[in-house]
Formats: sequence, C-alpha cells, structure tokens
Amino acid sequence: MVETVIELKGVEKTFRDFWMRPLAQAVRGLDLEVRRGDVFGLIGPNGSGKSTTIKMVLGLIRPTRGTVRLFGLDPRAKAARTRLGYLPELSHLHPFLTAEETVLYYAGLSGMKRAAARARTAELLEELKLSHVRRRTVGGFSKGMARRVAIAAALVASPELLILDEPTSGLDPIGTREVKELVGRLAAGGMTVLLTSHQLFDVQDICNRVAVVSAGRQVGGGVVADIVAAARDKRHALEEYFEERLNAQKDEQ
Amino acid sequence: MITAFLITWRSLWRGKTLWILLAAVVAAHFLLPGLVRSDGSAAGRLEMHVRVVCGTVSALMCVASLALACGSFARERDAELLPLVLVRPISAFSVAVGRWLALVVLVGVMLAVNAALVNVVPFSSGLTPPDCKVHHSPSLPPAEVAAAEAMAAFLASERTPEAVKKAPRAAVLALLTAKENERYEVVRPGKSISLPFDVPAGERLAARTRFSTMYNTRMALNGIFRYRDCEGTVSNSTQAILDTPLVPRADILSLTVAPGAGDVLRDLSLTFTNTGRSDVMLRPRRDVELLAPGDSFFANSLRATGEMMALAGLLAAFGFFLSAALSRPVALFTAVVLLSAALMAPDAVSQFPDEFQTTAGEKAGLAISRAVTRFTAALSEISPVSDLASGRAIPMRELIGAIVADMVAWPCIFLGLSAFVLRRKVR
Ligand SMILES: Nc1ncnc2c1ncn2[C@@H]1O[C@H](COP(=O)(O)OP(=O)(O)O)[C@@H](O)[C@H]1O
Ligand SMILES: [Mg+2]
Repeated sequence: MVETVIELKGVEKTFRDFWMRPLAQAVRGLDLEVRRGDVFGLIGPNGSGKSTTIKMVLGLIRPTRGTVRLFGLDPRAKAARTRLGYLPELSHLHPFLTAEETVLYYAGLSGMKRAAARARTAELLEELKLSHVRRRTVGGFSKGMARRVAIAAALVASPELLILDEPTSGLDPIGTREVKELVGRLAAGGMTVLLTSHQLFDVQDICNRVAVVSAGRQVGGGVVADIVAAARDKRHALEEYFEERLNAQKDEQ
Repeated sequence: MITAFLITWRSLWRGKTLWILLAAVVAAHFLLPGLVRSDGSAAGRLEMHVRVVCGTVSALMCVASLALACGSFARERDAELLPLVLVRPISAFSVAVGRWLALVVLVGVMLAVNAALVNVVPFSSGLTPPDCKVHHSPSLPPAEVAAAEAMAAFLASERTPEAVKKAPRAAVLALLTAKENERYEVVRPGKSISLPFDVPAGERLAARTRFSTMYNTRMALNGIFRYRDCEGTVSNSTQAILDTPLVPRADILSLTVAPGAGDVLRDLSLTFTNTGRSDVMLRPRRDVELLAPGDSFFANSLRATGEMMALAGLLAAFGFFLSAALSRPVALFTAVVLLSAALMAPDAVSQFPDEFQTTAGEKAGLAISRAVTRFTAALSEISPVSDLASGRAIPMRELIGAIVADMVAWPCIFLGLSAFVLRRKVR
C-alpha cells in the first residue's frame, strides 16, 4: 500500500489585512496528494500560490478552508515537524554564524544530540562541497554557497520529507545542476520531495509527478513520464504541457 | 532552549554588543563620579557615587535588555528567518525562553562587573565601606484596614449626608486609603506622640525622621526620642532627613532591678516629645522609621544586584513579547511609550486621588493610570539603587519577591504570549 505523505483537500487561502478585508486570494481550491517516494513538482507562474501552498503544508499559515494533512497528522503536530526538512524560497541565514554553526544551530532546533549533530554536519558540508569554508561566516557567502548551506540545514535532521521552495532560483547553471543531482541522489535514497519551480526544464528531469497551478487553481498535472510520452518535443515536453494547460484555462474563462 | 540560548549569545558576542556594554559599565565607574557634586562628606560622596553609577548602569541594563529583546524576533521576521525555526520540532516557547535566558545572563555578567567595581572603586582611597541599616516602619495596621474602619464610622454617622453615603464604595475606600497614608499628626510643644514598633532590643538603633518636601517646609525639630531603654535628643532645623542615635538611658539602667521597670521595657512604642517652641507635624506612616544595624555594604550590593537583574529580566521578557507581536520600530516605540506611562502613572494616581471632582476624560485617564499602577506596583516597590546608595538594607523577602515575580512569573506569561503570537504572525 502506498503511504500518503501530504494530502490537501479543497484548500483555499485568502490573505486579509488588519481589518480582515481580503487582500489576495492566493489559493482557490486545491487537492493534492504526495505519496512516499514521490518527487513531486508544484509548477506555475509567479504569484500562482505555490509558496502559499507550501506554507500551509508546513503549518506556518492556516488554510481559510479545506484540510491539510502531513503524515496523516495536523501540520502543526510536533511528530509531523520532526520528519520534514524545509528550504524556503529565499535562503536568509544569520550572517554572524559560520557555515558549520548554522547547520549545527538547526540541528539543535531539531533536538539532535551534540555528537550526532557534529558528525552529520561534517558529512553534509562535505557532500555539499562546503568543507573548505565551514569556519567562515555566512554573511560573506555568494548566493549559491548560501543556498547550499540552507540545503544542509534542511537536511541535517535526516528528514523523510524534503520541501524545497524554488530550490534553483538564483543559482548559476552549475549550481542548478548540482542541486538537481543532489535531489536525484536523495530521491534514489528513498526520500520524498515536494518542490516548486517555474524552471520547467529542471522539473522535468527530477520529478516523477507534477501539478500545474495557475492563479491558485490546479489546471493540470500527472505523471511526468506520461506527459513526456505524449509530447511531440521530448526535451521540452513539460514546457509544452504547461503552456497548453495555461492556455486551456484562459479559454475556459 | 540551549540552542536558542547559544545563538543569542553568539550574536551578542560577534555583534560586539557585549563589549560595548561592558565598556559602558566600566566607564560609568571611572568617569561619572567626577562629574557630580556631593555635600563633601565621605558619606555624601559615597552616596552620590553609588547613586549615579549604579543608577546609570541599572538604567542602561534596562534599556539594553528591552531594546535587544524588541529587536530579536522582529528582526528575524523581517529577515524571514522565523519560518525556519517554526518548522522545527522545538516549541516556540522554549526558543523564547532560551533567548530570554541569554539576555538575562548578559545582564547578569554586566551587573556582576558593576557589583565588583562598586565594592572597589569608591573605597580605593582608604574609605571603609559602611554597613547598611535595616529600616523598620511603625507596626501600624495596613492603611486599607484603617480606611475601612474610617468608612464604617463615616457610614454609621448620622451627620453624614444621605447623598454622600450613596457614593461608590471602592472610590471612597481608595480615597480614604490615600488620605490615611498621608495622615498628619500634630505634636504641640511639650506634647508627645507614640508609634508602635516591633524591633527587638539590644541593638544600636536610630530614629529617622524624614520631612516631606512636598509642601516645601523645613521644620525645626527639637525633642527627645525614646524607645525601650534608649533615648536620643534631636535639635535641627536644616536637614530633611535626620537620624537620631538612641543610646541607653542611665536612669533606666539603674531601674532595671527596681519594681515596675518591666512595664517600661514591655512598651514597644517609640515616643517623641516635642521640646521645641513650634508644632511638629509628622505623618506616622511615612515620616518615622527605626534604623537597626544591618550587614555589610558588600552583602547589600549583592541583593541590590539581584533586584536590578529582576528589573532587567522583566523588561527583557516584555520586550520579547512586543517583538513577537510587532515590527521592530513599532515595538521599540511602544516600549518607550509604555515605560514612560509606567513611570508617570504612580504620580498621576497620587496627585489626583479625588475621583469626584474630575470630568469624564480625567476619570478615564485616572482609571488607566490606576490600572497601570496596579500592574507596575511590584516594580515601583523595589528601588535597589537608591537603597544601596542610602544604606538601606534590602530585606531578603523583598529580593525573593522581586525574583519570583519579575524573573519567573511575569517572564513565563510574556514568553508564553510571545510563543503564541509568533505562530500567528507568519507572512
Ligand atoms: N502575506 C501575504 N499577504 C498578502 N498577499 C500575499 C501574501 N503572501 C502571498 N500573497 C499573494 O498571494 C499570491 C500567491 O503568492 P505566492 O504563493 O507567493 O506565489 P508563488 O510562490 O506561486 O509565486 C500572490 O498574489 C501574492 O501577492
Ligand atoms: Mg513563491
């Protein structure tokens, strides 16, 4: 039996201002299911509600309507939070900490024991090619290096589920390729991944399933292999599919 | 919790806050005393030194802990670092507690340095540290009790107009309590006044009289204080605070074997006999105290440090709450406004006790001031700097009360609220 890791049912989110007047309807009815072992891509244009959806999955914000389950639990349950790693859209870090201290800090917040945290941190910094800068404060890091530190922080507690919001944004082609390879390795190791992106070329390479969202609504989705099989241009299959779905939605309106 | 503690310390350390504060504390000890004038006596110099230096350090610690706490969560929210903490399995409460503890330890380190310096610097020129004095107030029933009795008599009296009897009781009681606290007794020439005290015999006591400067009068005080088998004579027309040492009376000493001497010894009242030519006006609840020898300046400086720490700890916890709820500039602004309100409220309440003569607007203002005073009562009851400077031995009970309230109870409430608000304020 396949285990459902993330489940969204009829989820809506309306942002309101201080006076409770609606500001933006970021998500307007979304059903999603991410199963164990999936590398699930949530794709859509800017402002389509991807980050908002992720924040609801993480329990950072509450949906206005509908239900979100994480490992079958409320996303705010401690038991659910111990099992996930999160990379936010913008990797801000404490500028006064070194790379090593940053990762150790998040290990501590995850309740890891000191010795285990040290070993795991060294291992991750090695894997992410950060060992040589581990004693430098992250304030002076380049965008790509900072992103890798943030990824190490997300992975430090060996989560079962990794949630990546725009993991490749701001990275150069080499950085992008490295992240893709890393996600590939993690997925091969059995990790479930939910990622968002608007760089469809990357998504096509690493995801096995996708959902296309536009203006807070799901307008398409499915198994990537099927989409590629149905496409004329195999290299740009997802791009083709994406444009087709968005146009179809515009026609409906 | 330890993780949150460590990161806050690292930021204080690497952000140089620690060093700047430390430099400020040390500088206060060596630079400030040169800037103030005292009455020239050794005791006066010491009092001014302690008052100015410890007052500055204490204020600095309060402002620093409030400002640092106000910046904490608000800055992380602006930097979008908070979600990274909130998705971890650690509870927001323990994060808040860890950070608060880091600030408390910072303040503790600074105040420890301050305590060390204040025990060394003023005495480096050969002056010996004076012992502190335990202050005893007259053992009168609480003002509220006296006020309630006065009100009962007032209501029972036939002469009281019916309309007045219908006035709101709480307001009348508050009014009578304030009046009772400020009640004057007039001691005419040749007459005496007796005040009950609960101070054990066998100690070298002094009677302290303090004239209120509220009415700008400095009365000549001429008379004799007697307590148990001791007495002291006072004759002074200039000082606002007068300590009259009470020394054993020779005639009483010879009486100790005589019959009836026990009655004298059992009477635990301080009597003051006015031998001057003008009336002496004393507020029994405010103007007279018995001073007994206390322990060393050093011990008192430790207690004062504990109280200063409690104040800073409370403000830090409050700052964390503001920081969790508001953005940094708004939190800082709110903190400043509330702090000034807290400082002004007791004055507002004591200067305008009469609720019957005020308009609706003034009534509302008074009600707010009352609420604020009730809230800050625990704070305004302690004055560690002034106590250390004036040599008042801080009672252990007062210190423990301050620590329990300001370092445990209120922080738990404020940090709990911070944790609650943090989860609700994710963008
Ligand atoms: N905190 C917020 N307050 C008000 N509107 C918001 C907030 N966060 C996001 N939005 C709005 O919700 C919509 C979806 O945003 P987002 O989920 O960030 O999109 P995406 O990540 O797909 O680019 C946008 O129109 C955005 O302006
Ligand atoms: Mg986004």
